[in-house]
Amino acid sequence: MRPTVAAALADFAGKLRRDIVPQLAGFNASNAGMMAEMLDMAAEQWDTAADKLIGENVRLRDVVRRGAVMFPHVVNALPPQAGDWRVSSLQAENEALREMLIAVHVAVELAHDDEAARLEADIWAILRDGVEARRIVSANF
Amino acid sequence: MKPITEDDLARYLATRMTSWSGIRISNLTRLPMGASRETFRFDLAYSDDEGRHEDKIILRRDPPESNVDSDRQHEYNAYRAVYQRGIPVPRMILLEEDPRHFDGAISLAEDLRGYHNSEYQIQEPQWRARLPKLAEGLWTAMGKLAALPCDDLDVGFMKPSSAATTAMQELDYWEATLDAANLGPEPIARAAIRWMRQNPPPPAQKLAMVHGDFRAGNFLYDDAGELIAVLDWEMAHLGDPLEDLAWSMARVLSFGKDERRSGVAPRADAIRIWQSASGLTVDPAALHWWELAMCIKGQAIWNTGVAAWTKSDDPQIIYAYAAWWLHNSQDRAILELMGKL
Repeated sequence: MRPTVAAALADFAGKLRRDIVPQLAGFNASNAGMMAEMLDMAAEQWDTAADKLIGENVRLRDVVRRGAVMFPHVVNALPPQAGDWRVSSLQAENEALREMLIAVHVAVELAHDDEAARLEADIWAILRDGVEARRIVSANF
Repeated sequence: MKPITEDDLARYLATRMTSWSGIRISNLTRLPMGASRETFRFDLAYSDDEGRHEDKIILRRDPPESNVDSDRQHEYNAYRAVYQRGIPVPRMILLEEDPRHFDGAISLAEDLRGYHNSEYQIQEPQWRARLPKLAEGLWTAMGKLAALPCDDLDVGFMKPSSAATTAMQELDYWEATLDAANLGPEPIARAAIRWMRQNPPPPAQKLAMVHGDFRAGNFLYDDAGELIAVLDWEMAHLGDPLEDLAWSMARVLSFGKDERRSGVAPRADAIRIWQSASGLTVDPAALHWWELAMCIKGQAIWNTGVAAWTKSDDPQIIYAYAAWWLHNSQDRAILELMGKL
């Protein structure tokens, strides 16, 4: 698509803020302002969403696989990989892996050995990197 | 929801307020205030035995779906509990719980016009010099609320609690709310909840009335930076007074995107003012626990907003916006508090 989705959304957000919001008042102005902010966020995340999920899913799968070896009673089988690279498919895989990550995380917290400690550090690293990758420019923190 | 009209309001008040005559409603406008409730303002004129009155009124209406589990009666009673008790709040006028009149319960209150409530305005450079005064007002009012003896307040409508049980009671409630929203796995919030259960705080120094959403954006201030009134009491409850202090420290609600909490003052200043006004002492470990608990509360509210947005026939933009804008930041705040960032 040309112009790119990111460029179009960013332009729409700017026009909303500059041309439409000043003509509104109160509740409607606030709603239009939030729509502009959401267009900006979508523009910001659009292009990289699939890439982030693919990379994170690889790391999550690796950690959950290690957890399955250490704690077979916790993880029976890993979820299937996404059948395509649509964001919705990748997101579904991501959530299935995160669900298992929680179970593995609980198990490593109870294990108290070096291998579990290493796995826990890797879990926190993935969670931290995922949060940093998803940061929104307009966020307060 | 059914639109509220000036004619509907005039007809309702004529029936409800039988001693009033010549009721006239004008300038009914919906305000962008309060994500959990619809807020309107209007001008009211009427006559009674004392003569002709012209008042400015705020109307709040319960929506069918909200990001917060509360109702008109609860907020109305919370305002009344603290009215004229040293915490500046608007006067409550009327509560109508029967949803048939306006497609949802409503309350009316005095409208303190001519003041500001924007949390963004105070981030502008010209407000910098007035922030210390705002900080004094904000955390002094919070401290005074903490200092009020619960036994002297009419808080029988609130869920019972105790200094010993409030921490786990609140954590249980917000974890259950997170569960109920059911938006998918939350590995960061779940890890924080496990840590909090393994490391409970000491009992509260006292049981207090907690506002529940005490932060910039939920109070009125004047041009000089003087705090005029504290608003949005729908989440008021009995609990540990540190809870309000912790919520006001929230990174995600620090609108200056810097070390000023609530976008108003550095953490140390907020604590100093609050301690002075409340007469209580802040235990850093207990405050840290409550700050984490407030992250769980935040995540539960943002997710509940998404659930409400998904279910609603007329979704509120603010619920979608809040989730996009706040969810990841809330996770980031948890990581910081857990030393994992």
